[in-house]
Amino acid sequence: VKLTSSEGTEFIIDRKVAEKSVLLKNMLEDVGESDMAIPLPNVTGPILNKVIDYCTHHRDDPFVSQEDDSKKVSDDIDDWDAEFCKVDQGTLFELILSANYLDIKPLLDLTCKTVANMIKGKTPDEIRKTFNITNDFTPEEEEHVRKENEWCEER
Amino acid sequence: MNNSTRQMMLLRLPPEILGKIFLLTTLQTRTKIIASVCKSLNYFIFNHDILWSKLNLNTLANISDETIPPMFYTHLPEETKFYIRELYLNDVKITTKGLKVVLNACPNLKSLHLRTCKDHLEMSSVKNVIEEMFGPEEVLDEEISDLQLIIEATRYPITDTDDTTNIEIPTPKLRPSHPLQLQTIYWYCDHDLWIWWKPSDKHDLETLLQKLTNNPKATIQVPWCDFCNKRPANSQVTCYGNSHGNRDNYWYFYGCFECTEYCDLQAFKCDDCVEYDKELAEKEAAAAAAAAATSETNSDTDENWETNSDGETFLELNEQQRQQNDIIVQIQIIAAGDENAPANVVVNDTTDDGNGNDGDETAVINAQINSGDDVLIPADANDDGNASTRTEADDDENVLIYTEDDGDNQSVSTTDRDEIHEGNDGDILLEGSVDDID
Repeated sequence: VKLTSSEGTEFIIDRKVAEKSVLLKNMLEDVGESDMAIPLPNVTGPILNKVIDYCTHHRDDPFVSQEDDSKKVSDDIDDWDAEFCKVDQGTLFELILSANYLDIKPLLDLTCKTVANMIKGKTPDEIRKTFNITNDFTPEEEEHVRKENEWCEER
Repeated sequence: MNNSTRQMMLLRLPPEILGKIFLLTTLQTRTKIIASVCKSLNYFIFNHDILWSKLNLNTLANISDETIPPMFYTHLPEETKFYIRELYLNDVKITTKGLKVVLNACPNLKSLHLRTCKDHLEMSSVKNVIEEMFGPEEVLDEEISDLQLIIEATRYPITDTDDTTNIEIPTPKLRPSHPLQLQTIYWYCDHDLWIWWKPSDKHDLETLLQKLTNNPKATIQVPWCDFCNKRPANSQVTCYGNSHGNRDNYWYFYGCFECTEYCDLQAFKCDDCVEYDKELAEKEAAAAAAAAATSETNSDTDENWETNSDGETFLELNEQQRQQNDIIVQIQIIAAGDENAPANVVVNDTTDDGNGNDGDETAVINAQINSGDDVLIPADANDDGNASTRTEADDDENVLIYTEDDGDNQSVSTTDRDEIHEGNDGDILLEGSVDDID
């Protein structure tokens, strides 16, 4: 299967690897056998390369059906996946968007968990620093928000 | 990638992805931490459907009837409450007071997880609450005013005190403006306290939900294993015991695969029924023993009548009766003649007195008796105290009374029944003699 990134870079991969993406799987089923490259205008070459790495590594994993997101936890990432996600934030966000676009649920879950783990255990200020977010609350507003949410104290 | 781009990427992630990421954090992290990062995230946290559609309050500390009203009437934004469709309150201590607040504050609530708790949150009381709030009764203006006052009082209370969670708010007597959407109540058992529900209560509550929501599929689910209380129930188990009263109303239990032998638990009896059966057996045994004791002391009861191998029926007197001086037997005269006519009864002690003197202690009852009368056999008819008195009825329904001496293992055989019934003047003569035996 030929894939073309947004810059026009061509990637040739096994059909089985390509079919980890629900989007590609459906397209291949619709088109049938063809030598034409499938254009992926929303995915850059480096990101597509990472996605292909992921799909190749997990090519034999069983298909994951839709699960209840509320039951998911973020601390069940295996070593390869954890290493895979050790990338800069820009790449991580690009991977999230690409996984969403290509409809690769396990990759989307993995990248979302990685971001969630970057949030956990941090203070609001630490989160701002981590994600480079500006605090647009006034001190009074911040205090009000704090009091408003005092009820939500976990056991 | 510059800082601005990084910030843009996080905050401009598609809402469904941002929601997915935040859903992987806890409720506390979302509301206390992420919501404090910036206004954009604060708005997102309280206005994103997926973050509130399934709200689990079990994880929070200090959830109670006192903390629920300020939480729902004050702290949670109005629009946030619209997102709540499934609410978990099955591991916290609330009563109908807190439940009323939840039902009033969450107009789109479809599923509710409740639990019997030590404050007695029972199905019947939940039914009453729902009926009171959403039933067809007329609403009093006074009640609406009460509700408005409560909501207003709790909406902006954070001006004078930091501890708003302890505000005492009266239970609203209210009828919400929204219709009831609640279609499923999941009900958990509090096995520590063993507060159960009656199947009829479950049925009534279910029927009420179906009626008020106009949805025949509205239901009460009891999903937790009644046996281990650790796993979801997979099957319903019927108790075939006897302690639950009406057999048309079987008692049901809910069990997981493991506890129900993979849903193949046959002829199950609950602990209550096992205990009940045991007590019943003990009671029956005690009653039988008491009846036996009573019959032994009551010589004129039927239980003492026995039939021997010859088909003769006789009244066996026990040791206690033998030791009594006087014996009373009831005579049923079934004579060939007029059985309603009075008869004379003569009882001759014809047995050995132990001194070799047969028949020397004759006692004669020579009185007119009627059928069913009690006949007193005086003490002196009882030989030397070792004798007992028996009556017999033979195949011809003649009645015989005679004494025997256990000591000599001697008994009086029947007299000539024909003679008995042909006694003078139609009297019935019951007599026996040693001579006859000899």
